[in-house]
Amino acid sequence: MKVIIIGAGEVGRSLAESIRRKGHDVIIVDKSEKACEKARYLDVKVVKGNGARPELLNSLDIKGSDYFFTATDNNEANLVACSMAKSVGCKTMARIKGLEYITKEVSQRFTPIGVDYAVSPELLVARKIADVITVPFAIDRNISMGGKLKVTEFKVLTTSRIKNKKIKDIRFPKNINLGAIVRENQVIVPHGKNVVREDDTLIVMTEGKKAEKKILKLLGTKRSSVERVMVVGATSIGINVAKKLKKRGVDVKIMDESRKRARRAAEILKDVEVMRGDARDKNLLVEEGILRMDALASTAPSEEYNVLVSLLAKVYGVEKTVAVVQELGVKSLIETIGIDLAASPQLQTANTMLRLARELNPLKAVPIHGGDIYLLEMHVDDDSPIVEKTIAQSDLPPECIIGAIIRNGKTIIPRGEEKFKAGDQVLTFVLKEEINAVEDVF
Amino acid sequence: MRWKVVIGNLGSILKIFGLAFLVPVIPAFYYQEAPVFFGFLPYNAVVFLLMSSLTVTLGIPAKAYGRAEDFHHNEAIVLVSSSWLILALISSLPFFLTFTLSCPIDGFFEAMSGITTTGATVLPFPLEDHPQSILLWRAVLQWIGGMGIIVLSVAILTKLSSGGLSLLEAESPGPSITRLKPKIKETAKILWFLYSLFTLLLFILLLGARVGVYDAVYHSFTTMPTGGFSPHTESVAYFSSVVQWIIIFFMIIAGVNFSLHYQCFIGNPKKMLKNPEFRTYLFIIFGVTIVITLLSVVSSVADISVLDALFQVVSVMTTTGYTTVNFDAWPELFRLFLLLLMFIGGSAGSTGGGIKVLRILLIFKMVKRKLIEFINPRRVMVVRMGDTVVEENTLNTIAMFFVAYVIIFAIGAIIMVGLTGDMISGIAASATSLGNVGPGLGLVASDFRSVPASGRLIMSLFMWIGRLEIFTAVVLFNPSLYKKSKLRNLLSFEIRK
Repeated sequence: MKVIIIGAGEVGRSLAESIRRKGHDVIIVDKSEKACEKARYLDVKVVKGNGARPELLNSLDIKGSDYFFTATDNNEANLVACSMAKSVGCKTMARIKGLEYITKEVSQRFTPIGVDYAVSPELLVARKIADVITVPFAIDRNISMGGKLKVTEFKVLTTSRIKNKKIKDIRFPKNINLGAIVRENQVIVPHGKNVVREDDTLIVMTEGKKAEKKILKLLGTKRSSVERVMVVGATSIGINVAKKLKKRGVDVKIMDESRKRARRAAEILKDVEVMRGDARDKNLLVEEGILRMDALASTAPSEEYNVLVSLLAKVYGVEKTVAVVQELGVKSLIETIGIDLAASPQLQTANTMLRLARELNPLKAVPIHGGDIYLLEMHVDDDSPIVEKTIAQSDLPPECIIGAIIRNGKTIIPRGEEKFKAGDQVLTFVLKEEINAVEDVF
Repeated sequence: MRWKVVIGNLGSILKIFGLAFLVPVIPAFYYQEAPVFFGFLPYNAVVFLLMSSLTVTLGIPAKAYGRAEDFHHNEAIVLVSSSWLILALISSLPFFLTFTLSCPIDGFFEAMSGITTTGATVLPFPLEDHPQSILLWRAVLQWIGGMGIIVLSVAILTKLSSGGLSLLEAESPGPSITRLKPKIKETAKILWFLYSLFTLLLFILLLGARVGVYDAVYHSFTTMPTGGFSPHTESVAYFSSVVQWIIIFFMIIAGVNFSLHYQCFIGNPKKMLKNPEFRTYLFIIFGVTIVITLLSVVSSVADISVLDALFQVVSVMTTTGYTTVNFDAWPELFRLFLLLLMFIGGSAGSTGGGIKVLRILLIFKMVKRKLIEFINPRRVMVVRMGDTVVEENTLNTIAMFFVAYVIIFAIGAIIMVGLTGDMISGIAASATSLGNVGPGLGLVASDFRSVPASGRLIMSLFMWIGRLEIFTAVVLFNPSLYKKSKLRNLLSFEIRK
């Protein structure tokens, strides 16, 4: 398939890379020489110019393109370019920055002017942060099957009840499935004899609220949600994080050094405490109750500031810290120095756009833990060799864990003796290298 | 400041106002009221016909001399404040032309009390002895003053509509005027339409409750503007309890923001029920009524029925000023309640006077915010009204208004305590005049006749200040308004070029 991407920023390049890897042709367009230069490292065609200009678009042969993404900093240009691409039959998606035009993470309100999906980076990342922050011990979370199934990365702390236990002794209740253990950046496919250690990350699939409560109990807490959260930085992201947390009944405090931004937050957020102050000031943090906070999200515009504030919070014993970062390259680095989640609006945008472009990924694969392991969604056809075989009988590689089977709308967390049936939808945890092997089995 | 523009527009207003003098001609004819007859014409009819033609003819040269142009904000304010003074002066003439009152100050007091919808009187009792045309004239003044002569002019005159918002803001009660329609003229029309509709409705209901036509007209003319004049010495106590209930209901309606009535009218009653000012308004009315009734039962100091308590509370709170009992004889605590209610007044955008519930509510919220900020100086908070955030600028103006109101009240209280020699009477006189209520306490409980002439003059001016919500009125005394006139002229000329 042929894909055109306008804007070679973080979102554009990340999209281009992923789409290229899937084997499609990509043309990326940007006005700035610097951005074009960065994009030249990718195996894609780079064109310098204004992507909203009809002449340029015609010269790129947009008529023959299937997908058209826009991710420049200019919302209007994004919309105009999409509109033109739609008129020649492309599927279009636009990144819409700021909250002037958009009120939902993924909005279809621009379909009348030719934009199939408009994606808001701020709202996407705010939801991600809120999802991760509300669940104790969670450091990342993906939701599948319309919110029924949740794949959560939990951190094992000293207080955990399953620490130093063998997996077969833990006895996970049904509705809970352990997909993988990540230890020191190594993915371990769990087997009965593996031992859960402190600082491990467990990738767990849960179905429903009860299952979540149980896993949290195993991890050492009776609470199903955090109680007190501090948000630093009254940006659009920060305000929306606070809004979402408030909705879930969390006690939120939001802080910003700028009076103007703090005032705006106070105007938008009803019943949320808004403070003015620099969160790098230790005394101020303590005075505002950092010692009692369960989590802190730093959502200021500067990523250095966010990292600093999050680390400072860690020093004061805040269990979970989230920092918003702009540069994708530093994400994993930041997560290794003790910050639980480096949330990137750009990454969220690129991932969401990719997910929405269904025809570009016939394999429904959701990257987990930075892409070391994937959640693969497979469909069991009538003529599949796997029909009527149990998991043990199938030729699935041993590194593959069946997370859940969805049969006739019901979710089954399978045990070894479960048989596959035609029409099943199977969610599997697969190592990156094994994706093709798993695909062959189905 | 371009005086020609002010005078020209004043001329137009006078031409409209002149027609108001024709209403009392009807009872003057009907009852053949006259000390003397001029041919077949009764004297009082002649007076009012003369006044009507005089006012209209006064308007014609004023309009011809002036320029009918768009005005600036400062000209709008001067136009509003001066026209209220001039109209009160003109309307005072019938009182001594018909020999009802001998002193010009008394006439001015009575006219000002009418047009500002205060309802305090200096007419000698019993009221029934006075000519019906003069009594009706007071009611007509209240009815016109209630929704405002300027609003009426904006609704009728095309020329006023371009600078109309400044005019409406200068005249109408409350911190801000809600535009019901994009066109200011349409807004003014709707306000007068609703006002007339409620008046008509009340008239029909009163007729249904077996009130005579004259009394029904009179009380619908004086209830909707929260005026309070009655042709009967015993005020509304003259009527049955059914009539009293009807009047209570309409006083409450008159004290509600008319933009909420409009929302109800176009089928949006939720807006009214959810409005925080409306809720507070009802809460205060019913809260105070319940407290008074319960306390009077428990302590058995006074025998006050629910109807009596509710009527006085609504009448004072909405700044109407009718009475059904002599509340001056109530226990001290209840009298204090009523005195405090005079300060609160009706809702913003209603016909009631006083500080307004909206302002009181916002001031409480500001105080609460200050307290929290005092404990934690880093806390950033906004003041909300329902879901809308109130601008800091608006809050500031409201706080300043409150301070100005209290200061002016204090000045009035000092003067009136000095003149009457009685503390409660002086305080109540100042509060009731500034709040456009009518009855006070002590010496001024039913009328202002025991106040010396100088006191009456000052209280007339207080009614004027209260009706125009202080700033509009007081601006007239600001010398800079006149000094800069040449400079402003030049500037406006430059801009025009």
